[in-house]
Amino acid sequence: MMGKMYGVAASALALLATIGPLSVESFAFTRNSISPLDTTTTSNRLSTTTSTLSMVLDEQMENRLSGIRRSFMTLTERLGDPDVLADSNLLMSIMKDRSKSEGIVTNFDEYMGHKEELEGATELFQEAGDDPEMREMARSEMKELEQKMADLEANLKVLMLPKDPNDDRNVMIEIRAGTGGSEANIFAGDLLDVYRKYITSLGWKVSIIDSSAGDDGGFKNVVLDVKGDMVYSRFKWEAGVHRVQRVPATETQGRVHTSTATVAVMPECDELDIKVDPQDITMSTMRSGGAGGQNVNKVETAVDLLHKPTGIRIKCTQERSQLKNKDLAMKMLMAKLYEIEVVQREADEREKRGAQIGTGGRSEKIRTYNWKDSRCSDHRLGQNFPLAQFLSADIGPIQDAMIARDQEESLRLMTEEQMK
Amino acid sequence: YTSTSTSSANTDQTKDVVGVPEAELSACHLLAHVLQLPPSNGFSLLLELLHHPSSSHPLHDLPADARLTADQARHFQELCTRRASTLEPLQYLVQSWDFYNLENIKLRAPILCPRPETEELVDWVVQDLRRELGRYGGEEQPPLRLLDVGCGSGVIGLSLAKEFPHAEIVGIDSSEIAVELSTENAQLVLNTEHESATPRYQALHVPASHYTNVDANTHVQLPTDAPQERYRFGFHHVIANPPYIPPSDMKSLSPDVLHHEDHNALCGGVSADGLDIVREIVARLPEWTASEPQADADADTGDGIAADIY
Repeated sequence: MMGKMYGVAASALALLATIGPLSVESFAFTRNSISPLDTTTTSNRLSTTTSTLSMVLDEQMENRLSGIRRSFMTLTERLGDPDVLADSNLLMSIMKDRSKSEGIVTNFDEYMGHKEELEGATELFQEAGDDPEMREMARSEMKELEQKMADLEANLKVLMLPKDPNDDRNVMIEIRAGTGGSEANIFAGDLLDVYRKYITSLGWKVSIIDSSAGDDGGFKNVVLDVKGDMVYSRFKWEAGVHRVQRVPATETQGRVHTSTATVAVMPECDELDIKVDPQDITMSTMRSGGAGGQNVNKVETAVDLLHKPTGIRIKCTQERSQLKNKDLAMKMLMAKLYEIEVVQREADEREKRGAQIGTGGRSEKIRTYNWKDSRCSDHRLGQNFPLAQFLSADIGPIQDAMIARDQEESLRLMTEEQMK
Repeated sequence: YTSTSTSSANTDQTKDVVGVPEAELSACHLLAHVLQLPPSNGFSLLLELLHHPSSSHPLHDLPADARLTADQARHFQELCTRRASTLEPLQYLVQSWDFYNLENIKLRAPILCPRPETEELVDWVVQDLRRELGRYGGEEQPPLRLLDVGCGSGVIGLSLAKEFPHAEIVGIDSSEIAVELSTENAQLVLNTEHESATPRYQALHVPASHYTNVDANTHVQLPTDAPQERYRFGFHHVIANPPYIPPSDMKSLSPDVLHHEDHNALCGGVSADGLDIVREIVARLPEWTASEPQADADADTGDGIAADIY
């Protein structure tokens, strides 16, 4: 009649309906013994399933949440401190920390509010005795509250999931043509167009830091700098190998070719994230050899940077100021080194946890775009999207699907771990 | 852009014949200026286009076959001619350039065009000052008075002023044009600040040798109540990119430098080693960095000099 119901109160209700009034205290179940119940059964199955959503947060969880709430209140108090108000950096960092817990605290407060109300309603139900009207009122109130608590708990679980520390960072994106010669270059250019549209539609800022154009169009490689809100959290799902199947513009006989382009997404980083030893770098400029200083007035400001341990080579030519080119080259180097670390760490994590999906390493084939069938297939999701949707840069839904999958999987893993 | 890249290619060919240095770059900078592309990197977009005529345009949604207007074409032609015929420096043709943390600094003949090496000099000074000031943590920053000797367009002093918002900068130069130009640039760079009665940047028309409170005749410090104006020193650091080229090397400078930039900003004086100006600066250092007027030339603690000398 009302679908699945979970947990203590459900079983209590079911039993009460058939057996009679019983005190709630005899039904103090812990998380592990809760399972989704069919309202038609009157026995409690103590089996565990992979999609448990207990209605009662266990004591441990409640304690954790109370702790978070206490810290939140402390931070809130500090915002009223005149010393804090005087120091804008400190003020901002406190506000940022506080806002991270705000969602959790709001949900938790609501949950606890409902919990009290539920206790009240349960009492009413018991006291109602044989009055069917009173019993019905109390019961419907209890049901309502339980549903609300279940929803809040689901929210809380997601909010409490370990977050990717890089999620709120800006990124550098490198699109590199793979196999397929000119067509791969053109495809890299097509991806750039899509991403630019997407970035603009979100009100983010993009600038090209480096590019190497293809002879027949497109790019051999292009590096973008993207700034906005929670950029990495969305763009990380674009990292990997993208494959295109279509008749190239340069093709004279109408044959379909398959080409690839690789997208690398590098969260922005600073010296705290990645240390680069100046000894490991050779930076050469146009002036490194020969006369310089006041004797000449040349405007060639190109900078060539080589990171010896990894062999990463970066050339930066685009700014009028040589120092700006140097800074950009260093920024790119640090981003690349950091990304290598991030990808490695994630791969290790995934292996440890046996997780299925994750943000693609550079060699993971993530999507195929087929022109003939007008489809964009995401291999991680096992889902197809209309090609037109991708080309018009409506890629939000694809990323949403990836985020949902990721959350599902994290929830599953988290629950499994707690079952142990 | 087909027409524009063709026109720049044509200009390139002409330039190569005459032997213009950095012909392609020159054409790109001049064309970017005429088309009013973003100053910092507009030229590199054109350079890409020149090398890869069929590439997609990375950022500017200008149509691929945009044509120059008649005015633009004329302007471009004029600039290219000036560049090709007399090797007029690009910075003078475009009338502005970038330096360190400054964008679109005004430049005009004959004031020396800032060099990349000077950016490095400023960076060293910035790192040093950051270390020094870092010791004070988040408390009130101590006062910081800096002297830019031979300030020219003002780039050294102004990039430091921008980097250290509480610093006071004085720039001195023997060229009146330099004093004017650096003052204009100061207004551009610092005009967003709430200026109190005394501006943070001040340019004075006085050569290093005369920037002193020591009476030239009596060789004694002017008394504090002297009728003549006395300078206020007390600088924590003195920074300079002084002229240092030996006179014998002057004639071998490349024509764009020799025929357009101020020789006084290049040649270090009559002595063979080209270090006359440097010597003048060093001689005045104790007076400039003393915290109180001193009759004798004791160097006080807190003086520092970074000079761009090769």
